[in-house]
Amino acid sequence: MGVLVQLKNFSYAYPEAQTPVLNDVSLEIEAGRCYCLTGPTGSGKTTLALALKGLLEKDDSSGEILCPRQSGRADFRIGLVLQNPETQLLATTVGAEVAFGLENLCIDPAAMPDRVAAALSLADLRKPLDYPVARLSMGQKYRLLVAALLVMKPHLLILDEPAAQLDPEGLAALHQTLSDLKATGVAVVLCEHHPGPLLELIDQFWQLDEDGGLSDGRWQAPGQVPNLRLPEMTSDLSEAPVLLEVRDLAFMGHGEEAVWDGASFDIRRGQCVVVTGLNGTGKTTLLRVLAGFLKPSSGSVRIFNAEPVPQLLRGRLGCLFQNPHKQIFENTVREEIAFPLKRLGWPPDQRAARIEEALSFCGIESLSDDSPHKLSYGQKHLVAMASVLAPAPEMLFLDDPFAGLDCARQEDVMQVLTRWNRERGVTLLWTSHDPGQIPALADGHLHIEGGRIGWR
Amino acid sequence: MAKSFVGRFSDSFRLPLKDALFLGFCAVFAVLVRVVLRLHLHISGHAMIIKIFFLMLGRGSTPCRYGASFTALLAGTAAMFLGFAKAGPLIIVKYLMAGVVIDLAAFFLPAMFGSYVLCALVAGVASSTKFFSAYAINALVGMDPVVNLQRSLLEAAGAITFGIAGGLMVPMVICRLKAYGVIR
Amino acid sequence: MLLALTLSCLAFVARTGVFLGALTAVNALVFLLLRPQGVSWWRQGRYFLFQSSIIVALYIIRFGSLAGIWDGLLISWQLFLAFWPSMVFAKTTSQAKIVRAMNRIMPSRMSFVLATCIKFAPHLLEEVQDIYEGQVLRGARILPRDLIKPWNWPDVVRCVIVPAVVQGMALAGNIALAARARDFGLYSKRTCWPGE
Repeated sequence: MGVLVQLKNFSYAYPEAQTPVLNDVSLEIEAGRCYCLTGPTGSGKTTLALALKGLLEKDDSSGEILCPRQSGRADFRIGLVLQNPETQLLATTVGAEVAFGLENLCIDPAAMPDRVAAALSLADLRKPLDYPVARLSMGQKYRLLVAALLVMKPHLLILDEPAAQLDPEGLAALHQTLSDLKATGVAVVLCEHHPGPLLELIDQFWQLDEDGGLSDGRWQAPGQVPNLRLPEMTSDLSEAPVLLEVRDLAFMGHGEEAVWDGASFDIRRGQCVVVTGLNGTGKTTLLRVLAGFLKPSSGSVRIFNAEPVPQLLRGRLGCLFQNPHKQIFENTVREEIAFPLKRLGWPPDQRAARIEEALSFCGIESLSDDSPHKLSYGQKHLVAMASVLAPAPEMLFLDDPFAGLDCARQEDVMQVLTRWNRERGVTLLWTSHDPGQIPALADGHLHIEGGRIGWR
Repeated sequence: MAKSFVGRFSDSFRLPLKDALFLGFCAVFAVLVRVVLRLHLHISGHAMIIKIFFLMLGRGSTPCRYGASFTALLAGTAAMFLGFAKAGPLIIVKYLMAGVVIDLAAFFLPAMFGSYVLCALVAGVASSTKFFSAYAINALVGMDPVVNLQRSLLEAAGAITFGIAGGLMVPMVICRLKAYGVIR
Repeated sequence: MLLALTLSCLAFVARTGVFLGALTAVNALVFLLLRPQGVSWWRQGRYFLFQSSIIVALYIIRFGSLAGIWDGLLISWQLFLAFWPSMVFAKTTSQAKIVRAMNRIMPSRMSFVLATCIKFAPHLLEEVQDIYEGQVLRGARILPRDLIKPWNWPDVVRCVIVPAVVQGMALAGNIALAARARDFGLYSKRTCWPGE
């Protein structure tokens, strides 16, 4: 088998970063083989995928990337599917989406429909060409993206974390597609921790370490969210008062089918409940309905013994986003934590004490005068958490709080949540896209699948 | 011919796709925010607060020297294609006049996005273009000159007031974005 | 598109009642043929009434008699007919057709930028909504009833607009990356998908 792409001593550092994210990486990709790139979060897997596709700024890199395009083969193509399908789908209909690549390659419009239909069939997505993209499930959207690359006849296909976006049925379909592609000589690179059913396709594993170095072998991700030794519970939770009562709840959204329906559950003071479900199943929507920002289509929610009204929940309910950039806006970490306290009317002397406590609880005392925007992603997450915890809410909603965090930061976040839950009795409700990652802290596990929410 | 002119115009100042898309968002929001927020205040010129804010944001947050004009061009086209154009195709000219004023001001006053006074002043001048566009459209349909003058002045007065309010929001946003290191 | 532009431009030169009547009939015919969905008669009617009342009032002041009513109504009807065709065009045209129409009058890169931003505007609005809701729970005084007091307005700029702009820039970066990952920009020209 011939070598398709070769990296020789390739290094890359993001502008203004102190250390390179990829460090002296050398690799060879051969036609018809499947490679799996593993490594902890933030180790540079996506950056390496971008490098292979040629999407990194040349000024910030060193070393060589050799591929047939450089030796004059203009038809040599590399296809790359990034993580979030939502920001990669650029058209409104299935046909137009798949044809986007052909438009860029200046293919004659008359030749497009046949090629589009063939690519859709290869990706096992049997939908009419004018079918609206918005009506597809997350798994179907991912397969649409794969079709949108297959239509360009790539020689190398790179998929960034496909398992996180696909349900078991979608993964099985992708397995068949990749197997067929391998047989025709297309090389595949998966950037993936948990290849699942794709495992048997993989011919070689690579692992990236935290210093950006690449070596052969498979990096083993910890099986679970870091679990800490739990302090003893001070009281029996089954006797605790119900803080959140949900009965026959359903939410329709804009589509014709309910996002989910028939949800009934209670959450008691001091409990920690995890809601799991694949991306796009409506976890965030559930939190928004429970907080009173969205009206359910039927059923009832009672939080703190009342209907959910956002202005009445201020100070009692905290909400931590998956992405801290949506929350932080002040010039220093201290001001960021002080903001909710000021707005909730805390007197200045108590405010200062609370800020110090929140800083020390989250282990970020040394950052108090820094700009939150210039911190690492993990540190920003802790700042956002300190700011939400400072007014001591009785209940906390956390939207996928471990997404995008490396193991060390996950442990920091877990430590704060565990102490807050067990020592302060704060009720936690958090969402996670990975049903396999349930921490020991959880007293209950709700799962969303096929539009139903139920206890597991 | 118009297409080749616009093509040469955009090629000669080739924008990175990311910046072009951000300006596109400013343009679409300049048109859509009023509709989404249901701001039907029935006060002449109230839409100018949104329009001027996004045009100035487009210029202030990208290194592109024609950022406001590009945003204006896109906003006018978007308004026309989305069916919000109360003046038909002339909507593009209405947006473009304000955009050009902002770009020219930013060229001669590079520090303007850090100053509330300068931003308010430029926003006021950019909003005053409403007078010329309103007068021209009314004249085209054959409105009596005196009525036209009165109506255009009335519209411009409202536009300038709201435009200044939009301009005053810009330094607060730009200063924060600079402090965050998001823009230079 | 051409029809919409022509009808719109004709509204500017229709000076007589007969011409305007004929133009109205053509517009009505086009409307009946295309049957656009989602036209808000209440909103269009309200806009026309509001515009007409100002123009008619100014005409009455100018001519000092009720004779100005007819001229004022004619002018405001002309202005209404100038924007009506583009509204009908927008309501009856798919994204692919709009892009094709835009491709005819502007460079493909620019039409891609505009079509993509229109497509992603609801996504960005959802992100803004997320930001808004989170900041409300943090205590920000940004609920509609808080905003009656002008001293609460800076909170909107600081806690909603600034993070929203940062998110908008990030979204623009992600979309640009996704487009380049599918070879957007490889050639200066692009062809166009013939279907919907």
